[in-house]
Amino acid sequence: MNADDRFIWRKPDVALRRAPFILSDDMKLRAEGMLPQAADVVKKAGSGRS
Amino acid sequence: MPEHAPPSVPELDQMEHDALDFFRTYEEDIQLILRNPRLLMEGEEWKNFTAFIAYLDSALAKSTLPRETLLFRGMGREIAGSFLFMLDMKAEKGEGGVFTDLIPHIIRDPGYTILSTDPETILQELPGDEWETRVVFACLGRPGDTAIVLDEEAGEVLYPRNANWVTTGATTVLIDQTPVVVIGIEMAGCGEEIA
Repeated sequence: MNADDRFIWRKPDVALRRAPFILSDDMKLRAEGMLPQAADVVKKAGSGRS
Repeated sequence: MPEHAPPSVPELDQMEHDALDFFRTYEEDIQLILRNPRLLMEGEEWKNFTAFIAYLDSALAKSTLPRETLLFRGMGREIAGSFLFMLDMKAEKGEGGVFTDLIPHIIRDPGYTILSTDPETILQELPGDEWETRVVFACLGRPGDTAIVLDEEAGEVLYPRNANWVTTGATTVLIDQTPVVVIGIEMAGCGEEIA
C-alpha cells in the first residue's frame, strides 16, 4: 500500500456533511493556535522537497 | 513540538497484540472492508472479521497518545475543490491568515483514521500543478487522545474507526508559488457499529 491510499481521504472513503452546529469559541481558539504551527511545518516540508 | 510521537505502551493482551499486528500487515484490505462492508457481510468470514475488529478497538481503547503532536492527512484531488466550496473557503485568499468563519463540516470515515507526523508524506501524494487545489488536514493530537502509534520512525498514528472529524478553521501556505490549504480538524466522536 502506498501513501496515496493510507494518508489521503478519497471520495469513496468518506461522507461529508455540514455540521449540525456552529463552532464554539474554544474550537476557534484551538484552531487559531494550532493552524499557524501546522502551516509552518507544512511549508518547511514543502520547501524541503523543491 | 516533537516531530515524531513516541510509542504508546499500552497493556494489551495477546489477542489485542495479534489484532494490531494483523492490521499492520493487512491494513489495505481491512480499511476497504470497513468502508465497503457489503464486500464481506454475507460471507462466512464476517463473524471472524467483526471479532478481529473488536480486538483492535479494544487495543485502541487502552491506548493513548503520550504527548502533544501535530498530525496530518490529505484530501484527494477529486474532492478537494468541491470540499473547499462547501466550506466557503477560497484557495487563493493568500498566505498567512487563519479563518475560523468557515461553514463547519463533518468528515466521517468508516475506516480507521491514520495520520502522519510528516506532512511531506502527504504532499508527495497531492497534485503539484498550480491549477489543482491541494488540501492538507492538520490535527493537534493531545496527551490522552485514544490512539496508537503504529510506526514511531515513520510517524504514523492510528485513530479510532467511524470517526467524525469536524473542520475548525483554515489557512493557506504557498509552496513553489502554489497554494496549499491547511484545514484544522478535531475529532467529534466515533461510532461503534461496523455496518
